Amino acid sequence: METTLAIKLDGLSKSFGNQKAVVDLNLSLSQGEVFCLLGPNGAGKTTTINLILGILPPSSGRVTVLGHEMEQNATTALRQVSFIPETVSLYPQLSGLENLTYFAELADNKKIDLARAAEVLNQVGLSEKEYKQPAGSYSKGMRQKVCLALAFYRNAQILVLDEPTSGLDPGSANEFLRLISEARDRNQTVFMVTHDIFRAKAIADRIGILRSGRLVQEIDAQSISVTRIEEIYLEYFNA
Amino acid sequence: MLKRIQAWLRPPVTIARKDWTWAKCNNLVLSTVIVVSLLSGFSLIAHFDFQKENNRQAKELQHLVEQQWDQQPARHPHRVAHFGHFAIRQLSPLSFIDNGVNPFVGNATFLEAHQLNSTNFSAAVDSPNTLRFGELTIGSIIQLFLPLFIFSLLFGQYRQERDGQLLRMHHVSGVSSFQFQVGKLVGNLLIVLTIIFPTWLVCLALMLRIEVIPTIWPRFWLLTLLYLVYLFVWSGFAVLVFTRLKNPRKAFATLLALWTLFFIIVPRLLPVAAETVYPAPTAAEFNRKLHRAVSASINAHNISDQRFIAEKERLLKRHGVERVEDLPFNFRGFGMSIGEESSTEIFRRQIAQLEARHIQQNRFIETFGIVNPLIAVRFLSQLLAGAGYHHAFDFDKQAEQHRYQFVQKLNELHMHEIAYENDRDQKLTSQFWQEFKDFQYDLPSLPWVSKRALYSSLALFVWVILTFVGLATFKVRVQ
Ligand SMILES: Nc1ncnc2c1ncn2[C@@H]1O[C@H](COP(=O)(O)OP(=O)(O)OP(=O)(O)O)[C@@H](O)[C@H]1O
Ligand SMILES: [Mg+2]
Repeated sequence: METTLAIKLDGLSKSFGNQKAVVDLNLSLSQGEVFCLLGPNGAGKTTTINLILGILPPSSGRVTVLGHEMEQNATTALRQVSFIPETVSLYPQLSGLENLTYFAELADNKKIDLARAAEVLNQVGLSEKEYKQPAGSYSKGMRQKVCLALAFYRNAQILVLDEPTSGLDPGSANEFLRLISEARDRNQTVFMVTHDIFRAKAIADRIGILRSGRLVQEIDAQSISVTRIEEIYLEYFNA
Repeated sequence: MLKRIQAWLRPPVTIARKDWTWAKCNNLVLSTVIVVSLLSGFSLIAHFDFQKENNRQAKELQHLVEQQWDQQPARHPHRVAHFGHFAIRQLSPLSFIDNGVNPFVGNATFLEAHQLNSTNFSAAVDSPNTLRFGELTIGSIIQLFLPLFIFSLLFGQYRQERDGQLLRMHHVSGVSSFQFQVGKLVGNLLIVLTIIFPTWLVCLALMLRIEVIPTIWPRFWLLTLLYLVYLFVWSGFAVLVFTRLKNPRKAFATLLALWTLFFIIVPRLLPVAAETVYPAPTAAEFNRKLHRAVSASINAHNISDQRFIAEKERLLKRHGVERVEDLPFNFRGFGMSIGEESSTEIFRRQIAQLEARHIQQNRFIETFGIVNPLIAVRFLSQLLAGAGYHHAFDFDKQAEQHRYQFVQKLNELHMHEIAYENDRDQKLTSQFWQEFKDFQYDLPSLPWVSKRALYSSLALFVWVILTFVGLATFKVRVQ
């Protein structure tokens, strides 16, 4: 029997009015795979993520997550997904820890292991003093870290990340990469949008390049050098 | 199965708890708590004092009336029938929670032989008035202002959650729209309940201080339940509007507009519309009509009345005598008695007609409870508090019954204790007057109340069902 694919996109398209944001996207991610999506601003990366997560209804095509069709069975599928949005917002009056436990409880539907929550927050680089402050006082990077901690705390089968390192300082970004590779070792699937070619190459199994809503290139990350990826990327960029 | 329900309920509980925490650290909420508590606490105590004082005076007055009755000197019974008796209306014990139509109905009725004087049968009390704004009781604060407060609470939350894309985070956490909305509803319901809770405790404390009379405790608990359901309905309705309309500002503006329409405009228009559709006679018209009907009936004061003569002939035949003087009782007393019977029947018929008209008017208004839950709840609240128009009519009915009883008892005395000869010069000693019952109004039974509550309860129930249907079917728009 074939193992279920983590994420499967079939002829996925999305238009806003007559603007086509995503065009006929086909993609399959097996479980445990790390996939990085590169592409210039406005290429349709965030839109693709929104379609995968059922935040947007597709204009046509189909999204299947762990065998569940998103259109019918979103809530079941999403229980296995952790998501870090492009801009993370939290409840400003709740602390980082409270935000984490709140969303973790919603998603996992079980009692919170506070010790582990604190540990994960520490791991992503938030001190106890910080994660006990109201999130309203957080910097962009700190908010991002709470969301990262949430993703790793939950241990969901699939991580969907929209530019997760964009607000992080280099130290935290490297720590983040380490956590991603740990996730891969646990056979978690990662779908990550990024502008960071270097880091993409470092952790991805596969890299896709999106341009004007089309997936123009899929690259096996292990068999190619960073400079080559950059060349390919810029080629599409300038085309 | 139970496990599954528990699992399903967990996210709503988490959401509700978070919203409750949110409110706890929100200054606007805190200041509202203070304002609402002060306002409602003040109104509660003011109305309670007013009611207490009013009823103390009413009781004293009734006592005085009974005393004066008892202390009448030796008199002819028909003189006593016209000396009359006041029925003083006390405010229902729950009026301090909802004073209903109290401000618009009279406080006392004068009861005497073959006369109809009434507190509110007469249309002199303009329009049904059931929907007028009285001074604010705790009931009206709950009915009018707590929904408004729910709207602002939800506005604050949705603005934050919508703008901050937090709704999206809920969606991605696998929380269904149904669960999310239930969580929001419960959370906000808890917040308003927390706000009103201290005041309700004060209410409860005051309840313990009023004289226990039958049905007031069940009425109180039913009122509590009623307000709970009412707040549930508005919380649900508001949540649905906020999830339906993407823009929280638009949703809030819509709710404010609806509030103005449902809470200010419609309640004022409906009585006018009801009066137009089912016009009630003015006091003058009603009295003219009544007078005409009474003078056309058997009339003991008019000895040439044909029916009266026929009645007399029958009586003489039955007793096998030729002259009324030979009857074994005083014929004048008998005449008074049948006259009273016939005019009372006319009174009661006319009153029933007038009441039917008012019931039509109020039914017309009540019908709109299915569109506007405020109408339904206001009606039920007044009914349970014993301050609605049904109770006003009931008071007059009980007073009228009392009138009929004592007048007929006097006529009996007239028949049997006063001789036909020299009728007018005779008197009965004062001790006869002691035997008359005092007037006391009894609050109607619960079955009586539930019969009248049926339609509005049903309307509210439909609202509860619709709320659930909405919560289960509306999709939260996350994008
Ligand atoms: N809700 C929306 N309504 C209308 N147009 C939209 C909407 N969301 C995205 N678009 C358009 O779709 C296109 C793709 O946008 P998207 O956000 O997916 O780009 P992106 O690849 O994530 O860019 P970036 O690197 O800047 O994050 C853009 O042209 C954008 O203007
Ligand atoms: Mg983007």
